[in-house]
Amino acid sequence: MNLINIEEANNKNETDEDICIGLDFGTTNSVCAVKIGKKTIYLEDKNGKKLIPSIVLYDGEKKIIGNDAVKEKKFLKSIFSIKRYFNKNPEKKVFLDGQNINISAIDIAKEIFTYLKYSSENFLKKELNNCVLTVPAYFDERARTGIMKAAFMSGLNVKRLINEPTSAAFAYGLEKNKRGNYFVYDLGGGTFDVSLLKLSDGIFKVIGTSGDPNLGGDDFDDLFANKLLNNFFNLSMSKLAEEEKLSLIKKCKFLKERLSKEDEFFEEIKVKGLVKKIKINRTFFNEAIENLLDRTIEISDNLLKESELPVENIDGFILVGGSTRIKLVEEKILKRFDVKIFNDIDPDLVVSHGAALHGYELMNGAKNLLLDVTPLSLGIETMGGLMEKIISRNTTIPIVKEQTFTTHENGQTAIKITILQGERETSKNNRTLGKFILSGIEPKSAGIPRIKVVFALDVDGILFVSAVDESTGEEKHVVVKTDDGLNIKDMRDIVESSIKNAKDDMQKRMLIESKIKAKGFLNEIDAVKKDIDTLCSKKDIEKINKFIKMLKDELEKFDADKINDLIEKLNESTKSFAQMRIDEKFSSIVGEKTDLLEK
Amino acid sequence: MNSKENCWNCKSIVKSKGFFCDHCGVIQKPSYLDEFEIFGLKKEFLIDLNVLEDKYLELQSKLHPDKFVNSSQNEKDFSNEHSSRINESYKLLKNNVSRANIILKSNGYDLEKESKTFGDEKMLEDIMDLQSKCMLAENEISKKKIGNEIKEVIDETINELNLLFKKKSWKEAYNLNVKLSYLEKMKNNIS
Ligand SMILES: Nc1ncnc2c1ncn2[C@@H]1O[C@H](COP(=O)(O)OP(=O)(O)O)[C@@H](O)[C@H]1O
Ligand SMILES: [Mg+2]
Ligand SMILES: [Zn+2]
Repeated sequence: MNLINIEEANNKNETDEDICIGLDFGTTNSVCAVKIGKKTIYLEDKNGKKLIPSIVLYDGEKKIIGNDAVKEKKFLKSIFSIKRYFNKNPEKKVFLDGQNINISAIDIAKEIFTYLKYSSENFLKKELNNCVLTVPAYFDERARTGIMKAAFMSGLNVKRLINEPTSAAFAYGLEKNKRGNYFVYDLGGGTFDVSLLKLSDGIFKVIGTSGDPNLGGDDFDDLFANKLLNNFFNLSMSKLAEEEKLSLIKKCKFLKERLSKEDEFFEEIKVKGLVKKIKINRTFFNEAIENLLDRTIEISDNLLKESELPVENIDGFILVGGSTRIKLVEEKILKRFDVKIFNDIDPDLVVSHGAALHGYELMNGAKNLLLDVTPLSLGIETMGGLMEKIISRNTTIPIVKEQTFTTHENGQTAIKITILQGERETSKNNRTLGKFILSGIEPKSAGIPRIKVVFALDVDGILFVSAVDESTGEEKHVVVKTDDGLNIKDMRDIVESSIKNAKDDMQKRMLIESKIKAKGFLNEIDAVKKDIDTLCSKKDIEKINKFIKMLKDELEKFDADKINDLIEKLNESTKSFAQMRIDEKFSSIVGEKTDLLEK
Repeated sequence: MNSKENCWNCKSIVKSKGFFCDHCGVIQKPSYLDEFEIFGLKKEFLIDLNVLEDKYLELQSKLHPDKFVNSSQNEKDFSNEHSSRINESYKLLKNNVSRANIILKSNGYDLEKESKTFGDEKMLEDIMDLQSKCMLAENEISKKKIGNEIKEVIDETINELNLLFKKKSWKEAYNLNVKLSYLEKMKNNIS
């Protein structure tokens, strides 16, 4: 006789599609959590660990990730702290995989996301497609886009990007019922974030945010190692071979963490064959890192001043991130601000916890409103290399701003706009997010055309730019984005449709990857279509157009092999054109006179 | 602008300035509303900032993109547009200078377009006077003192400005608002 399992049927009121995990991709560790029904749980890997080191060890064809990599003999050959590279250029292929192929930070992060998805699915015995992904509050637009792209490529549909300190505050607000003004101090492995929030019933509003995207536990390890080497071996770091340097730094990380429990202890340290038994104490360590901690206090103080909220009105400091376990952190905060300190939700886990709560809300109807801000001002380059602000930092997102531009030469038909992010006066001291050219302006006297440019920052902090010539009405949606010119909206569409239409995980990822590649390639070709039409032979143009059409059709379907095959064919058919372009040494893709805009 | 429109979703007639369709409850494409209209406020210089904040949070609670994560693309786009406009308008209305500017703009005076010069000599002198006091303030105590002085002048200016708005003296109000913008800047720099 077959027994019907009633319990299972009852549990099925939540379908797999409704589940949305909270994913905290950290510099040192990553954590996933999920709220199902009324319970929030942390997802463990097969070793039973919640904290999953964000490291990838490439060994030939194998990729060993997380706690498995820590156990390996070749551990020190792993790629560590990949998140730090998102602040530089996440697309740049500066790493090598196990087969000596050049890969980018995005490629490496993608492997970590794929692993996290896989091990979370194993733990829950459920398919997981959706996530709320957290990012440091002080990350710029490019870093955000890069992280989101890596997650998309792993087959995860990123429902929302939220800031790490906001996520932590959300957890405190909902789980610990905190109400009032709270200051989140988040010191992790690679980044430092502070956020000031007003928590009230059903509303979590960020008042302001600040930080340093390059300050964290990794830096303390370096400073500690430096000081040890200096004081006890009379050597500088540059005198050590790469491997020995790394191993000393990893040792110092371990010693640092031990110092948060013990005041002092003896430790044998071996450098260049010389073994010394050294007394490690907290004062020695504190001296090494004190300057950086003072910096975190200054950043906190400045944010408080800027928000015009007296310290007496702050109900507490919420400590987030593993590095807040350093005793000196609390001491410094208390000394400067004299406030209540909260750290009763595990500082390693609280970010993913908040993200899981938010993920649940997104899928089940958000009851709590989360209002966040953009951490950095956004602007454009004006004549003379200055930055003109369009959206100032700490503006609540989403936000749209319009600005009208004109030409400064008679008959000018194109305008180049460089988009910047940062707080400095001159454009070269700020981050360039992208450049775009608005062409096809009707030739008129200088100052006559009116070009309306719309800058939109969405709730994920991702920028979309569009421009209209108000006299001709020509619109060109330009998204300030990755080098392959693929925007987040396109990517999300690809991921959503692939999730729906693929049979299994493997197929899903292949489909996503080939579609992203195809779409990016088509966009690239689109940008130079004019040149193709003037430079190539009629026969070539016909062939190229045929493949473009076929590839576009194939993008509507779900066959990764066919898409890859067409990318190859299209690539082949445009080869002669690419060569011609190099020969001609094109100075600009539009081939028209472009000028810096003038307001 | 006041003509009736059809709901994009159920095609029934909707009030042109509503956020949702009365009939099917679906979010509507944003129609143009000025900053005061969005929050249902009268176009007056002095407003109750608490009412503004309550209204702001009420609107965001209904229209924020987090409420539309699993909705159609149309609904997502509309929510994003509404939410962005509400954020921007809230920011402008919260600040005295930009709020005054909205009213002035709708009466033909635009702070960004006009040159920011002072209408009269006396005003310029007042500002220069305060400015030099700011420069001389060295320690926390004297900074605090001058800061308080500026705050007082700001309060006076706001009262004066309010009267001018009531009398619809746009030109004078415009000049005084320029003064106010300088005062606010000074206040921010000193603290
Ligand atoms: N007990 C401890 N004392 C000092 N530092 C610690 C301790 N535990 C963890 N850390 C440090 O915290 C950092 C990791 O914190 P985490 O919040 O996981 O960062 P991230 O989110 O950037 O990965 C590492 O630099 C680690 O060495
Ligand atoms: Mg973290
Ligand atoms: Zn309707």
